[in-house]
Amino acid sequence: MNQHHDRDRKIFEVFVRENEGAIMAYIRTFTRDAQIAEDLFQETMLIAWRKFDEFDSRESLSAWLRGIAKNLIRNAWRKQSNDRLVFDESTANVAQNTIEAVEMQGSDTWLERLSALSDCVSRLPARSRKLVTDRYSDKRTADELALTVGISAEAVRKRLQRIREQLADCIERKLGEATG
Amino acid sequence: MSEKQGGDDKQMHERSDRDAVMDSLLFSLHEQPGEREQRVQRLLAKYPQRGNNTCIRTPPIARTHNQTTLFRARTSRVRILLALAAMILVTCGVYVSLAPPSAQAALTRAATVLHQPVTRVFDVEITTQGFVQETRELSAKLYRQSTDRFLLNFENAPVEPCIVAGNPQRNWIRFGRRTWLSDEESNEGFPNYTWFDLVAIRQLQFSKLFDELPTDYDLRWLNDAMLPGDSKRLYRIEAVRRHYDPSMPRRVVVWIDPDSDVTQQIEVSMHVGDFSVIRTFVARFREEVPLDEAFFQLESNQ
Repeated sequence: MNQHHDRDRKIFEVFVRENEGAIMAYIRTFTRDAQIAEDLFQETMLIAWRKFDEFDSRESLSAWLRGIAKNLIRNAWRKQSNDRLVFDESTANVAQNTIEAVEMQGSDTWLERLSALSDCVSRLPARSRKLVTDRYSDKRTADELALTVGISAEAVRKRLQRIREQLADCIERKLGEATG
Repeated sequence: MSEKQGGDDKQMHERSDRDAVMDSLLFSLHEQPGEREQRVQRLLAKYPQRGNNTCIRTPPIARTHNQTTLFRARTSRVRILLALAAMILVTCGVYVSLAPPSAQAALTRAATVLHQPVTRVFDVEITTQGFVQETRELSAKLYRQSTDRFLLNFENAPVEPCIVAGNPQRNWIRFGRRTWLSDEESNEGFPNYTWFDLVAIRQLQFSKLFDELPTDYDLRWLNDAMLPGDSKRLYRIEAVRRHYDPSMPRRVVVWIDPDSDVTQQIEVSMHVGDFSVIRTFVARFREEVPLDEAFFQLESNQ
């Protein structure tokens, strides 16, 4: 019994490690609040694990997990009293398509599958690259960045938005090439 | 949870779909390993115990795809591939093991099949990639005995013996649930080689990868690929697991010389040890070496 439990627990760990990157990326599309994202992530994985016997193994596990996450996000969005979470079907579709394309990369880990994006970032001009690092690696807000860059927070947001637009073009091109 | 991701919340409604996705992917790309690990650990702490009959199911027999025809046309090559790829799997301990016999009993079992002459021997260079890096360099020799029987001998890494559970007759030996032991563990008494034959391998689950291609694997075939560090054009066949099943390799890549039909390299990514890590084993087949008949004397291996 203990052996069975231990093995089950290990498989659960594999299950979590294999899928957490893609699921978190999906959830974060709808919220920038780290706590909300983590709560939804935990709930998604725990529900999926409890319902694993309902999973049709002819389908994609990743898509099944996204389906669970999507329902949870939509429910949370309807219930919430603020706008820290925004759900939209078209966003969900774009997120699903993009993450599916990333997952098509045959690498072993989520991070390795994101190498196309990493490559796109490395090709940015130095100033843009620094802004990306400050925002995403150091987790600095637009207001904080505005103080160091010497422009308004709104201008920082616009600049970041333009950079993301460039990166989206770049990664779409790369993923398109990779999948033929 | 000290992330300051919530700082730009008021812009959530104004974001385009693409922008929202890219924003999320950038956070994912820049996330520190420690943050990710903490998140995993927080979830693992909430691990829910499932019922007694709720083990992860093995996916059903997969649909047959068009590539099967292609592979059947290459039967002889497939036989070699099957054996060699299974060698890696068997060596790396993918299958559920029974209680290991003593080293002497294992050796005795191995000796019962040592009655045919060895026909070819190849140097094999084994490297690993992934979360856990092997610190020592591993070298091995592949001994081919007829077309159906192979032996992989690790020259500098003793491996742990046990029986192949996937073989109903249980008459075949595999070594290496853990493949090789760490320097701290006692290697005394353990042999350092693994035998396998094609008949036994065909009865193992992995044989479906080649016999009923693709069984739960997406297949990508390139006719004109270059192996890193090699200028020759090769066939590159990549099988990527379609569904979740930690007991099966996640990815297998085979490189074949189209002129000689000889496999040049096999890469297998799989869950190893306690299932919690994915590791890639790369076996690069080097020069053919002269036969050493003495190796196949039981006494010479004790």
